[in-house]
Amino acid sequence: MDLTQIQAGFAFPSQTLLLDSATVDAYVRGVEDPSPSYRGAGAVVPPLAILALSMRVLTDLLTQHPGATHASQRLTVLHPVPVGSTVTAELAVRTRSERRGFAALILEARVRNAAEPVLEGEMLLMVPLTLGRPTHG
Amino acid sequence: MDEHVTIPAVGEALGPLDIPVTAERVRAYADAANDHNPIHLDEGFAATTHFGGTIAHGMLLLAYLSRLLSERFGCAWVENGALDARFRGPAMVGASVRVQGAVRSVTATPDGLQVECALQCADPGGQTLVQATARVCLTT
Repeated sequence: MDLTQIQAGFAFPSQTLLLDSATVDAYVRGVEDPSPSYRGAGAVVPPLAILALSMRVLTDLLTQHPGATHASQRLTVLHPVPVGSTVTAELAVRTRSERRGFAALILEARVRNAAEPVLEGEMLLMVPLTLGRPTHG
Repeated sequence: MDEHVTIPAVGEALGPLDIPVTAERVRAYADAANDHNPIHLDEGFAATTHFGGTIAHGMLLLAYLSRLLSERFGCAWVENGALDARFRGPAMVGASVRVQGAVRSVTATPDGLQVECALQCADPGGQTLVQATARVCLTT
């Protein structure tokens, strides 16, 4: 799949993510966040972990576009997600435009825990239109 | 509101945290987030880009900003927080970053205290790498 050719309205296949303690522990260790919210009884999943893992389908594609730039990121937590939850993540292209040799993609992420929306994200991704262009940004 | 979370004051500082962006930290994040883009991990590849070397994941820098919020606002951050961030520049692996912020406003609402914070991640020279606004509601 060529990210530069993706059009507004395109939806990536939804992902099912098991946010078990091993996954969350690895993330919390990786970012060295000592918050007790993420540990022990009643632990919840760090919101940025949910977002990062929801973007996996995108990060795989980005390896083919080394000049791509993550220009901005929004995140809104709607409900906490307990560790052990299985969530569904949907990622779609809201808008696409072209600017100075780049495809500017605004992508929306929506994450549900069962039927409950738990997190929303929006990012601006700048993808060079020419493969092999030196990495920028 | 968490019993240990006090009511913030406008101007109150968050952080700073000074974090060396080591290759080990970036690798640990890449494995945890399953993001193995070579721009973050492959020095040989990254050297061919205009960065001249590997850079940290933008989402790792956001996670450092999140640490400030979880430390100050506890559960509220993970229950109802919002973050709006702009990436201004790369964090080079091998350098350090400083993450810090300040409470910009505190507003009483029917839902609780709405707190808005300005956050920043900067390189050792003070250049802003990430600029962000965070919002959290402290319910009673």
